[in-house]
Amino acid sequence: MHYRPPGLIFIDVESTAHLFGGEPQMIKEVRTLAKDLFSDLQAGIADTPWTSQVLAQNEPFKILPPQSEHEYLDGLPVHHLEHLEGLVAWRSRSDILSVIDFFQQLGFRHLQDIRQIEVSRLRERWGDLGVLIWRRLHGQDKQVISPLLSREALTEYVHFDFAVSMLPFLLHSAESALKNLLLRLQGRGEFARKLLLHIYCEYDDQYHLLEVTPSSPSRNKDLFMNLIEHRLGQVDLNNPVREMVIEVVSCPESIQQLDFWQPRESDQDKWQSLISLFQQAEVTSGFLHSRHAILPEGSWDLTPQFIESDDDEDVQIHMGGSIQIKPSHSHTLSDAPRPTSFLSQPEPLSFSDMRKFRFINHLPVERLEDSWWEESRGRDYHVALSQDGQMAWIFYDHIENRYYLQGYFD
Amino acid sequence: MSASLAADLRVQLAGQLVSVDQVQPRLGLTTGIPSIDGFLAWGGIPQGALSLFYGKRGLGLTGLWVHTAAQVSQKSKWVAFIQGSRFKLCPWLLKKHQANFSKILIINSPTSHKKLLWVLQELLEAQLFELIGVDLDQERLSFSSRQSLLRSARRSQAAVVFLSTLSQWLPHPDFSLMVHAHRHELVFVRAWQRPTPHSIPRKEIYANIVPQLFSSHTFLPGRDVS
Repeated sequence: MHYRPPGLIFIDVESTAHLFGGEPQMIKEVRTLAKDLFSDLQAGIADTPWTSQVLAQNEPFKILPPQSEHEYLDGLPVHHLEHLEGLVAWRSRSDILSVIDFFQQLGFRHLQDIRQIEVSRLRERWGDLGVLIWRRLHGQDKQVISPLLSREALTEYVHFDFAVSMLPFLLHSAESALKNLLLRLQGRGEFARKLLLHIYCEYDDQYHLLEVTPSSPSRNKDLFMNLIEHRLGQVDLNNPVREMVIEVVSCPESIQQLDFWQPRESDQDKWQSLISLFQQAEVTSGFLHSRHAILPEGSWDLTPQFIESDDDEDVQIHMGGSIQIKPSHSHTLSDAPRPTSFLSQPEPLSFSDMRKFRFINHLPVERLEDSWWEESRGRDYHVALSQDGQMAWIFYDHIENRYYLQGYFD
Repeated sequence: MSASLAADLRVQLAGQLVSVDQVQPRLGLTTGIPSIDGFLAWGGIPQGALSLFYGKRGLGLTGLWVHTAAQVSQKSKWVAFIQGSRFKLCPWLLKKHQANFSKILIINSPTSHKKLLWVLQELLEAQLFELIGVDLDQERLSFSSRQSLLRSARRSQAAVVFLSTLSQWLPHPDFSLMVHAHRHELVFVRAWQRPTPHSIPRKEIYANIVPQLFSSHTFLPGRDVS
């Protein structure tokens, strides 16, 4: 595929037309797909790019039979020479118009008349331009549609005729631009890792940058619209917006095997959307995931994607001739009592606080110890009962020689 | 009520009275504790409604929620919990009850009450979760907030359970279930279509939560007890 601005796309369909059931079906499919995006779409299928361009402009959606290009071009009026470009436009529009004017003044009516002129004559008069005209009329210009992927920036520009400070209006404009961007991403086989909104405000005459980042790369329009809505909702729109540029930071698509019977919006979409939304609002959320840490408060954290834990065994790391063991705190978990709610930062208990508790056992129910050079300390855990019937998890720190409240069996 | 008056009422309401076995209980999420599930009309925590568990920490209320959450997640249904600012939900009890961690979403405490309500509203509107727990700690809910959350809960049919450490809550119809934890018992202050107050001993909850405390020997974990 080759894109030539402003608005010409050339696609080599020689090996792919049969996938659509033939060229007529392909043209029909293109019309249907492009209906929402471009109301003035014109297309044509021919042997060469320059002929297809002329065909699209002259007789939209026509398919020229193979090897009938000369016959078709011969019958066209001279002024169609202007559109006989293909992948490479005429270097100067005024030059080609002067050529057309020249032939029209000589009384040439059709391109067939120009095709009969020898190449040397055309070269003599117009140099390289003349040679190019001759080659295109005889189907000898080399234009190859490269299979390489497009590398244009994924940017959409939204301009407002008047400064806008209403959120729904901004969102409506952003939605159509976002839709185009996501379609381009789909064509490239990429996902959006992040959206950058460059907003130009009228009063301070400056561009402001807002970032919208989902929890994982996505092409979900509703998710991005939701995130943009919440992001713009946090912005003071009293300084109205004059222009907006939406830029996509993309990443390669991850291949996933989709089940045909899978509903369009799965649970995964919903919780990913929630996590993204909360992340944008600076609220951490996720799934519980165990970590190999000796202290209870460091043993678990939240991850945006669920990770299967295999933490029931101690981790052994072999380094040369030595073995380092990272103990799993959930080892022998079934035998050890654990509170339901615990403090991420243990609170020290004063003497008067301690008097309110009674230990259930004389001996500690658990002892945690690690190497002295590690950050952990020696702790003896006890289950205690308060005067109000609260069951607490208290530990005695051997280094600081005081008691701490870690949690409650709530 | 006199026998004659009762007989008159029975005649007047003849077309509307149904027998006990014909009453269709509302949907509920079983807690796994027979004395609680047997008492409640829903057979557990009501869905599509707000519930309130209140009392000091360490009296077993969070554990009651965790027990329910573990059972819900085992059926591959989604559960969410909004943690408090000081205390975090300890996952060991969930692991002990073999909860499915891939179906439990934990949200850290939002920085403001307004944000907390927004997070809860988003969770309800996602229509994904069967059970949502919220650690309110010392915060209260305004009447308008409760009304709005109740409407969302009814739409999504989620069971929303608020956990509060405040001891003073007046019975209110916005909460279909209100449970107050005392030193020795759990008191059902309000339960739809059930006679309240009703109390059950606290030890019935701990029997499932901390069974090892009821065993006879003491030990140090990390060593095999043989």
